Amino acid sequence: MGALTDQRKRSSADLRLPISSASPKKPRLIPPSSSPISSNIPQPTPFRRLVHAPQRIIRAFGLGSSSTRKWKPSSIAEMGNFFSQLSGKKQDEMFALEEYKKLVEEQSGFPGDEVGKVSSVQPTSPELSTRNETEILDGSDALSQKVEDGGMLTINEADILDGSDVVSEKVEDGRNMALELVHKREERILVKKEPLYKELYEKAKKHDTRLNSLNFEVEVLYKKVIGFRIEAELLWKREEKPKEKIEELFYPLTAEEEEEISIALFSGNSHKVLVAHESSNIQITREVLQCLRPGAWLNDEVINLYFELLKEREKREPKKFLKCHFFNTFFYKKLTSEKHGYDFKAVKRWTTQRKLGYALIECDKIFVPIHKEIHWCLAVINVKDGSFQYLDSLGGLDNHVLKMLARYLKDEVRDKSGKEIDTLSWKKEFVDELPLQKNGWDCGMFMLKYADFYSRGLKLRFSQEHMAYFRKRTALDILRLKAG
Amino acid sequence: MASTSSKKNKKSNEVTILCLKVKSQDGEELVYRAKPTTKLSKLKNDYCNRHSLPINSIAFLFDGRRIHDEDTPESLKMEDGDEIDAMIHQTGG
Repeated sequence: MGALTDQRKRSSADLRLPISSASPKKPRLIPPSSSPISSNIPQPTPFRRLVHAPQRIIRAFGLGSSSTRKWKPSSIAEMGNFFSQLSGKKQDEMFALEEYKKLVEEQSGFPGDEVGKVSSVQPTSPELSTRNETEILDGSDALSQKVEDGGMLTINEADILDGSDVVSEKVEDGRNMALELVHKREERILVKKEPLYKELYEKAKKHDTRLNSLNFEVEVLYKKVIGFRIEAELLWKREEKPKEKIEELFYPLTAEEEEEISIALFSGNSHKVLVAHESSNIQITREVLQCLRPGAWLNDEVINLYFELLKEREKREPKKFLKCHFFNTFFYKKLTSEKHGYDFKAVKRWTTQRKLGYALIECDKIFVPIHKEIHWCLAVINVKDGSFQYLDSLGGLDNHVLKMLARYLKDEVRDKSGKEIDTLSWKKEFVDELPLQKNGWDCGMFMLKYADFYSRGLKLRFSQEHMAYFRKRTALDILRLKAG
Repeated sequence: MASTSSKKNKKSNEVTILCLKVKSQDGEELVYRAKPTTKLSKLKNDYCNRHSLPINSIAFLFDGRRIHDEDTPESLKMEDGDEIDAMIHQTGG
């Protein structure tokens, strides 16, 4: 503290300007000039910026509270502007209003000091109207003018209300009057403006014929769209007329089946081999099958076995299902594991006629599971249509995968049959309305179902909500070693 | 490029010995010499030991097909110089 006072002394000593010496001494607690007013009357809020700031300027020009009352904006009225005349008239009325107010104050018997107080807040009103006038002269919009007016008046009146309650009631009448005036003026301006918008309206009307014709066209097109939609739906229904097919996909599990699944998934020795698939040499232990528990990530064993089962299903009933080939989850890894990112030789022997019993190119569809570090996707080669699809349940797209597969198929066909086909020019399709996963664990299940539905020649009519069911169903299929 | 120093070699000079390459996902190769009747699970065990991997984290594939523990080069009709793919099990969500 001592240091602080020292500093202050030094600074005051350094600055010899009269201001520096006077300002700290300025009395702070002495009330402003309105001290004679008794303390129980609330003081007017002194710092209304809109009102307070311009007031000073006017005072500087000798237009203070005492002089404004006699002041008339004759110079502006003389300019002959329509708006200025209008507002001039209004201002006259405003002055009349003030006189009225004054009268009321006197009659209500307030001490002179207080009336003075009220009026000292008040004199903003003439200044306000001057402001209005200048704005009108600037040619600003009538509407904004009105808003400005209204706002100013209210502020003004609020000040008065602070001054005294009795006066305010009377002033309220005054305000109504003022508002009425504003409305009147506005009307006049609108009348003047009418022809302009009428003119514009007429102009706009000329476009009506064109608009009408366009409207008609829009209507026709809209009806066409509706017609097409109905037609498409009918076609859709006809396409999928074996309805039992769909139902078969979602048939409810019986209580015994549920029991069987829950035993397999949730109880017992986790190393116990539950099923062994002979032809593919895949053994499923309980630990492996538990990836079909809700919320668990699917592993390659379950996916590979399920694809084997899908293939067997097709062999069992070749008429019911499309001729497909299902690669295992290691195929794409092996194909692209070389340094150059592509190695046909590594998978050349995977698809010999002797092994498969058919050539790859004879199939309708070829399914290639793609493992991306921690995510399962499915690539589909539609051999019959000559197109590639990439199904990612997270909505991703990987052209590189499809390019690699195109290259593979080209090499494969050349290697096995000696034919040259231009798979590189096959189109890469994006699947509309692909069912997408809404969590972080169902991608494997989605992948299996994409393959399941497509191998039946069905559209992908399922969604996230079916996944819990599909997990159980897949577990059951695997336990029975027979895909439904 | 290590190979099993096998007693089998000395014992069965009259029997054909097969050279089998076990190729990892990274393209790394390990050559085993095995009798046609040797169970391939032996190879798998050795491979996992060498790479200090749990035995059930690796799948052995021959031409894309899983190799069963009981399989032998003979049963799979393997020839000299054939490749076995050692693939790491995958999981994903």
